[in-house]
Order: sequence, then structure tokens, then C-alpha cells
Amino acid sequence: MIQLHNISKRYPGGHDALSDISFSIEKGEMVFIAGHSGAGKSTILKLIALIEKPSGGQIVFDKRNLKKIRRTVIPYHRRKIGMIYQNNLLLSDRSVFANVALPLEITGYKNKDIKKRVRASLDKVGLLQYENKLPMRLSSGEQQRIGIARAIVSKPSVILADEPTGNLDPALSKEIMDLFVEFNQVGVTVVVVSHDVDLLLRYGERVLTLDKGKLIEDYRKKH
Amino acid sequence: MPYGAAPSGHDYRAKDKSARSTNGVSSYRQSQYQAHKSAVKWHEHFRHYLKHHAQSLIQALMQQLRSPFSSLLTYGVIAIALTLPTGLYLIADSVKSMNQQWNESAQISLFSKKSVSLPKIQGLADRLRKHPLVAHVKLMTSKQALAEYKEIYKGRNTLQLLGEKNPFPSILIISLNAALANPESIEKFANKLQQHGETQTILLDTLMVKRLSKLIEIVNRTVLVLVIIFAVGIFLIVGNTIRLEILNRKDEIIVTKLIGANNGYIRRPLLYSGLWYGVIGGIFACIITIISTVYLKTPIAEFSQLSEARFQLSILDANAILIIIALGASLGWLGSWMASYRHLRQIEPT
Ligand SMILES: Nc1ncnc2c1ncn2[C@@H]1O[C@H](COP(=O)(O)OP(=O)(O)O)[C@@H](O)[C@H]1O
Ligand SMILES: [Mg+2]
Repeated sequence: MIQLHNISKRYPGGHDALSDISFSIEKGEMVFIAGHSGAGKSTILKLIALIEKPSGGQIVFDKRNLKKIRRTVIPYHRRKIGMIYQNNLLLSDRSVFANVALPLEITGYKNKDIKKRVRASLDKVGLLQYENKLPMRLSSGEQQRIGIARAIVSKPSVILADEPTGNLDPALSKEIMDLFVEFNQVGVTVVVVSHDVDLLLRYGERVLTLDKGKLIEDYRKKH
Repeated sequence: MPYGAAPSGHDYRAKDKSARSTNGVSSYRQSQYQAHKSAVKWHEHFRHYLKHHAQSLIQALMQQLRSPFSSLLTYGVIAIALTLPTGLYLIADSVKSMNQQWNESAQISLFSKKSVSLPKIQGLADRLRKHPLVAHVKLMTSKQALAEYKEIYKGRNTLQLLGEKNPFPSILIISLNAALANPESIEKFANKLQQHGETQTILLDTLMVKRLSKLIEIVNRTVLVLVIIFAVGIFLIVGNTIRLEILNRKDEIIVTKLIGANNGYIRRPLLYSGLWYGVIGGIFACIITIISTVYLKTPIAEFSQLSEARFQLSILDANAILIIIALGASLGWLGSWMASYRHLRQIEPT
């Protein structure tokens, strides 16, 4: 599903955020990316979603070489990915419902379908009762879950989550992770960035560990 | 090439007949299915496109009404920029109607040669009446001219100077058609009259007509220059307003781009916002103009009566209102197109 070949990334005027990273994620896999702050975890997700361009190497996503994707096609590439951001990136002047509906509006669903899907999605993260509230009225954990609801609402084949449990207490973290496992079980490829050791030990079937932009371990749990 | 991939292909004669027919049917069904699918897709695409246009149209207006003060500023500036040329246009139009009155009063007096007989002159008058430029022709015979002269100068010595002979020729007073006459055509016509055998001399006063016509040209050109200057102004005002809107909503734009919106999707409400600025500014301009003309109507009517100038201020008709609003709308659209084209590409998520 996702292959990185000798990927390196240097931000303008910065040091190497990533150097010579190669790994492959199969369709339907659930993978964690672990590492200290600044190790380059978010950068990998940004490269996959074409938010940043690699300085070297190639990424293949769903059999497509991302290098060959034209600028005007990038939005369509992003629609295939449900991305959960570290800082949620919710629109503060719109209701919870409108925030979650946004990907469907962009893709062009019928109002009836939008309603159904948004409700189902909010129900999944347990926030259906807040659909008419503004996101800023909710706790940071709830905001995080709205971000998740928005990422899953269009049923993407790949979910990329950047520290989705960063603001949550252990009980909620477990709930969210169970959600991801549930998606993974119906065939969705899930990539979760986390440095929560408890979480990694409990859910980490496969963990890619980064350190200072280098891939230092590709661990698979033995059965 | 696999069987049935191209059922109408040129190599079908080489294929086994039964294999061709089964593959042909299945591939036909498949292509029919695909055609159906793509038709639905096209239809869905178009529906989504229309829906988003309608949504953007309403959304853009709501957005402006939600911050009425700053929107009102923009409407006001656009309205003023549209009102000034409109007002001058109305004045130019009024002067034009005055010009028609002048042309109407434009007369040519044709003094016939003494030797020409009365029936001949009557014949000439009849011919002239058929000319498109001519409104009507009045014939004053030499006898009538003398009688009028005598009437005017009754009891004065000058009458005795005339003696027994009538020194007056017959005169044709030719009034010109106001709608068709302009200084050039009048002059040309007068020259033609001069060529007639019956004509002794021609009297023509077109100076006022000429002056007025030049004045109208000046006003016309001033209106055009003003329209261009203010059109550029509106374009820039809307462009700048939309630019600020884009900067204000930078975070929102980045988020929608991250979720998979393309520039066209983000630009649509901005374009409609520019359209609304122009339309509402245009409506305001019409209201301001109408109020101003109503306010000026009475004193102008009074002045016109006192000065016998028959000057009447033109009012804004439905056509002019439509043109003003359409002009505002297209300038608003263009201005926001320019701004969004330039600035949306610069806002990319990092
Ligand atoms: N937009 C940017 N410009 C310059 N440097 C950046 C940018 N984004 C990240 N970096 C740098 O790249 C490195 C990796 O960042 P990041 O991928 O965000 O790490 P992580 O998510 O693992 O904490 C860090 O040193 C960070 O400072
Ligand atoms: Mg990070």
C-alpha cells in the first residue's frame, strides 16, 4: 500500500529531518511509528499526504509514484487518506457537525448521505450529542475525537494519525485505539504515530522506530 | 490482443466464430455497464458542481451580511465609484435631448432668384418636402414678404424707398428633421440646395448646433474616461477586499486544502463574494442616482421654464439600471478572480 524508497528530507535552511528511510506497509496493516520528539515522525506522514515533498527517494502509494502526481491531482490524493493531525486543525467558526461534514462536502455527497455518515461517524467517537456545538466549547480530548470523526467520515482506505492520543487520558486512549483496531479489522491500513510506551506495548503489532531522522528498528511482535 | 477486447475490431474474421460471439456479448455488456457508470458519474459530478455554486452564492452573501459594517464600507465605495460616471452620463443624455431641440430649430432659408416663377418654386417646395432631412417647408411668396415688411415698418419713411417695385424674392423656410439632422448633414444639405437653379442664396445658422454637438462629444468622452478610471477602481477595491478575506481565512483555507479541496472549490465562494459586492454596490449606486435626480428635478424644471431652454434632466431607466448592476457584478467577479488566483496558490499547508 505504502512504500518508501531511500527517502530523505531536508527542510529549507534546516538539518536532515529524515535520511535514507526505506520501509513498506502492506494493505490492511496496522503500523506504529515511534521515536523522540523531533525524530521525524510527523514529517513521514506529511510526505505520504504530499504536504511536503521529499528531498530524495521515492514514495509509492497504492501503486502510484507520488513523484509523478501533478499539482492539480494532489487534492484527490489527499481525499484517499484520513489524516488526524497533532493539533486537530478544526474550524473554530463551524459546528462539530459542519467540521466532520467537510470532507464529504468537498467530495460532493448528497445532503442526505452527509447527514447519515456524519452522524454515524460522530456516534463512533461518542460525540453525537455535541453535533451542534462549536468545537472550542469542548475539551481537548473531545476535539481530538472530532478530528478522528472527520478523518474516518469518508471511509478512506488509509488512516494516518499523528499522536491521536496525545491529549487523552489512558481510558480514552484505549477507546480511540480500539476504534483504530476496529477499522483495521475491516481492511483499512492504519499508521499511528505515538510515543506512548504503554500503547505501543499493548497494540504494537509492528513498530517502526525513528531516531534523529533514521530508521533504527522495524519490530514485529511474534505470535 | 485478448478476445473480445475490441468486438468491432478489424481482425474478427480470423477468430473462431463461437468464441467471438460469447466474448463479444460479455464485452458488450461490460461496455454498456461502464457507459452507464460513467454517465451516472458525469451526472453526479454536475449535480455536485451546481450544488456547490448555489451554496457558494448564498454562503458568500451571508458571510457579508454577518459583518455588516465592513461590507457596507465596500458597498459604499463601489456605489460612489459607479454613481459619479452614472450622474455625468445622465447630464450628457439631458444635453443630447437639448441638442435635438436645437436641431429642430435649425432652419434653412432659401431665397429664390427673382426670375423664377411661383409655380416653379412651389414645385421645389413639394420636392423638398419629400426629402428625409426636411420636417416641413413654408413658402413665403414675394407678395407675402412685401406685405410682412410693410406690416413691420408701417408709417416709416423706408416704405417710400421701395417705390412701386417689389424687391423681395420668394423665400422657402425649411425646417429640418430633429432626429436625423446633425451639423455635418445640415451643411451638406445646404450646399446641395445652393446648387439648385432656383436658388439665389442660402441662409443657414448652425453655429449653436455645432457648439452643442462639440460639447456633447466632450461630455461623452469624459464619461468614457471616468467609467474606465472608476472601473479600474472597483476592480482594485474588490480585489483588495478579497485579498484581505483570504488572509483572514488563511487557516481555514489550509485546513480545507489538507482535507482535499482544490483551488476551484475554495475560490468559488470568494468569486461569488466579489459578485455580491458589485451587485449590491450597483444597486446602491442606482438608489443614490435616483434620489439625486428626484432632488434636482424641481429646480431644473423651474429653471427650464424661466429660461425657455426646455432643459429636462434624464432619469435612470430600467436598461441603465441593469447595465450598472451588470457592470458592478462583472468588475466584482474579475477583481476577486484576480485576487484569489494570485493569493490562493501562495497558501499551501506545511
Ligand atoms: N516546516 C519545517 N521547517 C523546518 N524544519 C522543520 C519543519 N518541520 C519540522 N522541522 C524539523 O524537522 C525535524 C523533524 O520534525 P517532525 O517530523 O515534526 O518530528 P516529530 O514529529 O517526530 O516530533 C525537527 O528537527 C523539526 O524541527
Ligand atoms: Mg510530530
